[in-house]
Amino acid sequence: MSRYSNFFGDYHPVVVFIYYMSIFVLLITITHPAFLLVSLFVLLLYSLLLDGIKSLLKSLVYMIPMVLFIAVINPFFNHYGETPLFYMNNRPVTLEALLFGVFTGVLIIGLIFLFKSFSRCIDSHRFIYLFGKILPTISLMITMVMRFMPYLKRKLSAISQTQATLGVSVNEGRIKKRLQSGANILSILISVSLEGTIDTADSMKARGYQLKGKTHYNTFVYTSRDFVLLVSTVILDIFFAIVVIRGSYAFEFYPRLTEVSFNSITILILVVNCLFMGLPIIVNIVEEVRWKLSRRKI
Amino acid sequence: MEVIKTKNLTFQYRNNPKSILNDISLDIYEGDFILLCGPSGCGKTTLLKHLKHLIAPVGDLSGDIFFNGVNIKEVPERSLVSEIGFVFQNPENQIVCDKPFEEMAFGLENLGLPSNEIRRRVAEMASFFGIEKYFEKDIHTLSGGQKQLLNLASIMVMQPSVLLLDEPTSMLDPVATGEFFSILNKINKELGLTVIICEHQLEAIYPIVDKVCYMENGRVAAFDNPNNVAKKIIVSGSNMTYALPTPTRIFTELTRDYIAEMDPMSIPLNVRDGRICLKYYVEKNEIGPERLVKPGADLESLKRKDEDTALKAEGIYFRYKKASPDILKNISFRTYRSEIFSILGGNGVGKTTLLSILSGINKPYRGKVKSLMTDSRKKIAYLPQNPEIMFVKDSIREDLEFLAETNDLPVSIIEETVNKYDFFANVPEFFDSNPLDLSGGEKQKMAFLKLMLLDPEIILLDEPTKGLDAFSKKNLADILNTLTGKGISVVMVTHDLEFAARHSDRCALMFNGEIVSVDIPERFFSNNHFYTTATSKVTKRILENTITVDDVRELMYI
Amino acid sequence: MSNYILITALIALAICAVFLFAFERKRPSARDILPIVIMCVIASVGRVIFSFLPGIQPVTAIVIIMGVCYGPQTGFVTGALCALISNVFIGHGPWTPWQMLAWGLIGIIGAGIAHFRWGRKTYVLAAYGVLAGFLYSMIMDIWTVSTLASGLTLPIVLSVYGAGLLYNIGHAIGNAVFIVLLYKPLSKKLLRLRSKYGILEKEIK
Ligand SMILES: Nc1ncnc2c1ncn2[C@@H]1O[C@H](COP(=O)(O)OP(=O)(O)OP(=O)(O)O)[C@@H](O)[C@H]1O
Ligand SMILES: Nc1ncnc2c1ncn2[C@@H]1O[C@H](COP(=O)(O)OP(=O)(O)OP(=O)(O)O)[C@@H](O)[C@H]1O
Ligand SMILES: [Mg+2]
Ligand SMILES: [Mg+2]
Repeated sequence: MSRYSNFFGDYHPVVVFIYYMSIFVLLITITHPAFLLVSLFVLLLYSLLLDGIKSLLKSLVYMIPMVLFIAVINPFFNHYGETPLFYMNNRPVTLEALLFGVFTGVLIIGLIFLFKSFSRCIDSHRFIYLFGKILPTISLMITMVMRFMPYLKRKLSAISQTQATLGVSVNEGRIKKRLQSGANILSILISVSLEGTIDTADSMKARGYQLKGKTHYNTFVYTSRDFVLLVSTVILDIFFAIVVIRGSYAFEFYPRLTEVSFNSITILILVVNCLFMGLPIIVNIVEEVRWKLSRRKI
Repeated sequence: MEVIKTKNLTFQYRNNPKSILNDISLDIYEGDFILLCGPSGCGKTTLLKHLKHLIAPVGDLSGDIFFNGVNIKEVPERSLVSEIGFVFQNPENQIVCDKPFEEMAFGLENLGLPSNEIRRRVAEMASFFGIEKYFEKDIHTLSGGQKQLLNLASIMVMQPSVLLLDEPTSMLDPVATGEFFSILNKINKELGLTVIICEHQLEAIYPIVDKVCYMENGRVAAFDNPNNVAKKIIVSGSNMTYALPTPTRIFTELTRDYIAEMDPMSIPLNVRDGRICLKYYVEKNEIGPERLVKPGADLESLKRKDEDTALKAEGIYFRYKKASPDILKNISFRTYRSEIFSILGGNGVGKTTLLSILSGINKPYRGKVKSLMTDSRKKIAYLPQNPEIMFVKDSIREDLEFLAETNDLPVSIIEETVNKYDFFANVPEFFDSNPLDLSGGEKQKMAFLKLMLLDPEIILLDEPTKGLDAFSKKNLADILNTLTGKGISVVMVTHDLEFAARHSDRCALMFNGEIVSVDIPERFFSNNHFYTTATSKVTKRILENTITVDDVRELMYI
Repeated sequence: MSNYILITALIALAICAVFLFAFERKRPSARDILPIVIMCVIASVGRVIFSFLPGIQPVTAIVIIMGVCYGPQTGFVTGALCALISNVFIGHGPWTPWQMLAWGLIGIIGAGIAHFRWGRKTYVLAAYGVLAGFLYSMIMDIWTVSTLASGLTLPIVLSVYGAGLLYNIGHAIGNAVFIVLLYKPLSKKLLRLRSKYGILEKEIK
């Protein structure tokens, strides 16, 4: 699969949003280690397909210390559980608490990757489409911040290059002078961009940004495939709702770990779980294959 | 009925003791095509912004503005947005989106048009302005002129009934400028749009407007048809004379002694009428053929010696990203001491990029730039296309003093330099202002002053005349000539053909990242068809070798 | 059990939403929001650049200055947006709403202090910066404690605080330093902009 094509993001933003919200709620409500591990695996796989192994490893390296931190710290504060590993200050450090710590850490990693894949599907345009009605100003501001970041970076390099020709440079002179030059360059950057935004603001106002009843150049057409995705999401949601309500898949850490058994029902749940989390991957593979086939026909 | 009517409009900025607009009363009728002109800092931008009430500057305002008979304060926002289009002076800052197509759709989206209507209008306007080529590019990679065109297109697409334009062509190349004005003319004549346009470069716009509003010091000095205003300006002998279109100025030269008695309507404004007048003059005064040809320059005497080389570019190749196409291809040329070298060319051909390489800001991936000045200290001064980023401090005075300090110069040099040149005559007035409060032309002046303080040996100027009124341009040229007299080498990029023709020693034409020809102005401009000066158009096949008004004067008054 | 994460995050989010909706209700003009946007960009980039130093980043200082110069609402929105945006690069998670809330409140309190004449002095604000560092960690630790999920007992809370002490001290000192460096020049620019262009005219007299 090519690294930058993400067909799942082409679905209707509302449907994609509902899908991600469902996954988010599921991850947080179903506290079953097997469920979490499978979910994490699928999320990592998706991230691998989208961004490649390098980027995946890089973010993992960043996250593992955090998991370890939470895993280690939890049992020291949390003395529930029946299986003491050792005692500290006459208080037990329990296996259950340790595992719960690990569980929480892994959950957080899963959530981070979920946000990542969410942001790969919802670009600024879709973001405004989704939230523009409820929070028009805030969502506009968010997209503007994202836009201004590279803009300010370019402006900064233009300023420092131009200033260097006027004798203000961070690469020359004594350390004090360099620091002063740096401060001056930063000061120009802020002045010029603050001042420049007034023109931008006026240009927005002059073109009616505050009027009610906005429309969109790119409307997102709701098609049958969006319907299919929506219906699948809803059905799977119902499935998991039943699972949660019936309690057949509950897992408790305290006082003692619930025993994990694998029977036909739990296997079914795991398979459905895989499917649900993996929908973006499945969509991407199907579309890729379809594209390849269409090329062959030509 | 008047579309826009202002009544005794007076305005003052809060942080500026000067009153910027004084008692302005104008009646603008539907379908009027009005040119707003006047020296830099006379309040054009300020007035124009008041007419689009939504973006009126903050300050003390008295007087009233009426839009279609209704006080503009009571006009609903929606109709102000859709009815009055405004194009800002600075093309960079008014862009809101990332991609040209988003930018063009922005206003229409806000107005709530159905999406297929938006698409249709955007498509139409994009092809009209030739924007398809970069329709989905990132906006920040566009050249200054391309951005300006995009701004126009994103306003036009909203189909306003009044169009306010603040120096919309300051960065367009002459061909695009001509095209743009003919589009404006067409919009005005065929669709009946009311157009008010601010300009310093009057050559192309003056003949096609219905009325000219000439401002001075925040007052309307004249508001009449172009011929009457032209006569008034000529008779008053004000500095504005330099701004009038070339045919008019040639005519003035020819009829100097009795122009005061002439019927204003007989003053030619466009090339065609200018030619007729010139022909008539030549025939009536029975000017002999020997006086119709300006002797060609002595090429031998213009030859420069190698040791006079100031900058030498050898086979320069440049691209912005590894994977993107070459912006500069195999560029080689030299500039010499005591020379003004002008680089001309269309929008986006790579002129700014070339200057950034000459100044050392960007590095070519192949080829070399050598600076062959005797003084080993690198003394190249560079005026960027956007001069705002040259100011460091919160007031001009502090800024200039800081510059002197960082470069170990005595503070007295500021006063010396300011007093030495006419160009900086009104500069002390601004010493206590914030650089960012200045008008476009004033910023340009201040930025140039900073360069002068550095006492450079090579000066690189990116569109130095942009935003300057005609008189300041003349003073700028005087400075440049003084500098070259001292052995300094000037390289400038400009769209101002008249300026280049008049003041440069050699001109180069860039096309598609290459320098396709280098020649002395006389031959450069008489060989070109479009890239040529108005004088050359007026005098073609009547006089020979004349490319500036001065040339004509010399020939006719021996 | 790990529902705590969800519940606490939702509470924080709800509180933020109240403030954000109040901001929306004002229908701020483009001139009012763009300075916030620029300052958010600068603060967020600063946070990313300084992320290798524990706790030290310019966000808190900038949020305080925005609150001082442009009032409580701008202060809150700057803080909330900075958290939301910079976490795109540093890592989003269930803690994001808490960070939004913490920084937002710091901005509001900054605006409150600036209400008094003495509150606009650099050293007062620097002192507030130190306090704000600890206030921030206090709010964030509610989140940390909620992940541990065994109820709020004093020793737990204290040890959580102890664990973050280095980070918090870095944060507090960083705030003071950034305020001393930035307050004068930045507030000068912001106030100039406000009077020149009439930003937030209606609210601040
Ligand atoms: N925000 C401001 N605060 C204070 N003074 C200002 C402000 N904006 C402009 N001025 C001053 O008002 C005068 C008129 O400015 P304006 O921009 O209207 O000039 P202009 O005629 O458009 O000039 P140019 O042709 O150079 O663009 C100038 O002297 C300028 O210094
Ligand atoms: N930072 C950049 N990154 C990528 N491409 C760029 C960048 N800056 C300019 N370009 C491209 O390089 C080409 C030359 O740009 P340049 O600004 O040098 O043109 P120019 O000749 O100065 O035009 P103008 O007369 O309109 O100012 C343009 O096609 C532009 O799209
Ligand atoms: Mg102007
Ligand atoms: Mg250019």
